[in-house]
Amino acid sequence: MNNTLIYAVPTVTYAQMGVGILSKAGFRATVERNHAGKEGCGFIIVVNSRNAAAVEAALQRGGVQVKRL
Amino acid sequence: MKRIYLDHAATSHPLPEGVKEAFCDAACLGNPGRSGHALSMKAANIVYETREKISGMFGVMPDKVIFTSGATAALNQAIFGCYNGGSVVMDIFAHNAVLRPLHALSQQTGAQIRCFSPVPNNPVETVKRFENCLDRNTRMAVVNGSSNICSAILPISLLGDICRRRGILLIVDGAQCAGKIPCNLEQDGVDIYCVPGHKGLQGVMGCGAMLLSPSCKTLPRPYLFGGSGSFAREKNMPEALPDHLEAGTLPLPAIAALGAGVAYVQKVGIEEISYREEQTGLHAAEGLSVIKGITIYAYPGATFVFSHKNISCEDIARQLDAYGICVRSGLHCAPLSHEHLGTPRDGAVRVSTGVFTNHRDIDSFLCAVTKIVS
Repeated sequence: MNNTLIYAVPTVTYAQMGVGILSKAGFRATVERNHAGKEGCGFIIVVNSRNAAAVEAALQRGGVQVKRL
Repeated sequence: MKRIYLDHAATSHPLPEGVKEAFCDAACLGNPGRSGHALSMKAANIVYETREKISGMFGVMPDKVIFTSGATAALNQAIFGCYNGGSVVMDIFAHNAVLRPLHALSQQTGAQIRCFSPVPNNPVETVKRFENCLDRNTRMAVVNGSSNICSAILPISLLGDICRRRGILLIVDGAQCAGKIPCNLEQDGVDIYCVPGHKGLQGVMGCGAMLLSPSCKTLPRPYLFGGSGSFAREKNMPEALPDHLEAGTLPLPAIAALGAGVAYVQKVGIEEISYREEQTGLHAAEGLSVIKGITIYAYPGATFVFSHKNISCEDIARQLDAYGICVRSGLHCAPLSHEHLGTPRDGAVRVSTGVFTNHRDIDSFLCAVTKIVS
């Protein structure tokens, strides 16, 4: 089973903000280049989790807009 | 010859430990926010770390730290990007970084520019004068946090309170106060704060920032257009910050240096830095005050100006340079301030101390001035 969640973001800064917010919330996340897709700014957040609801709630609280890919 | 640097209002010197190293290390990296390879990602991380440090210092979100080439570029972006009609209020201590954009704005749009004269150390009178200067059509105020030729400080939070109540956008020129006077944009009612990287924040020349308060309702229109590394097919600048206002490649080495500089300021503490600078500045002013023929102009502190009755300011600065002492003479891009303080037509000599200035430096400076005037 896939253990990662991938999110498109509007800017690389949002990706970095998102990673900071998720780290504080106890998730392991990284910023990566979106080599495959056309969504967002070309960077994505990769989160090592299956709990999309908790991840997205944390991002929303931190004011980071994301789109799950 | 040991150099004694008393020109901190122009740029800080020397660099705190770690700043030059951060600058040089970043010069060998990739373009931040563009590619996905290791060098580019490392660069992007440095940019973000600096955004975070600045956001923590001024109480804004990291995406609302907009990097520019300096405080002047930030002020231009703020003024031209936010002007939406009505009159604009400025203050007598304005630097040309505010005076000239407002003059150009007036030429281009017919905007009425109104100027008030703050009374340093008298916040009640300053607020009264500010309010008297506002009219029904005032939509923007651009005020100086601290003068670049004296130690006059404006009561920003009181002015911010008035602006909030009256729906006026408050832009603060933080060129001389960022890193020296604490400011929390949200609490102080400041909508936009413009800062240089190379003065109180202890970075190097080449970058500054425009900071947007969490409650700033006006999203500035871009005045520079170009690549952002995002949404490349869109002909408009991306809507999301900071990309909306950051066209072109960022000055990575200067941003890295700024991050190291801000870390230094946070380590030493803004209050401690202000205290040290003020003490050495006052020492210099007191010493000069007993030298015959010298006039010291109002509001001495870490920064002040003086002149001599017979020797031009240019001559004094030139002769001080021969003693290894760095000061700046002239009008310091602040003609209204000089007029207000009543300095001679060619201006005055400015002394501005920094965090590394010590009392022995000041004694050497006073000794040199005594020799020059005698």
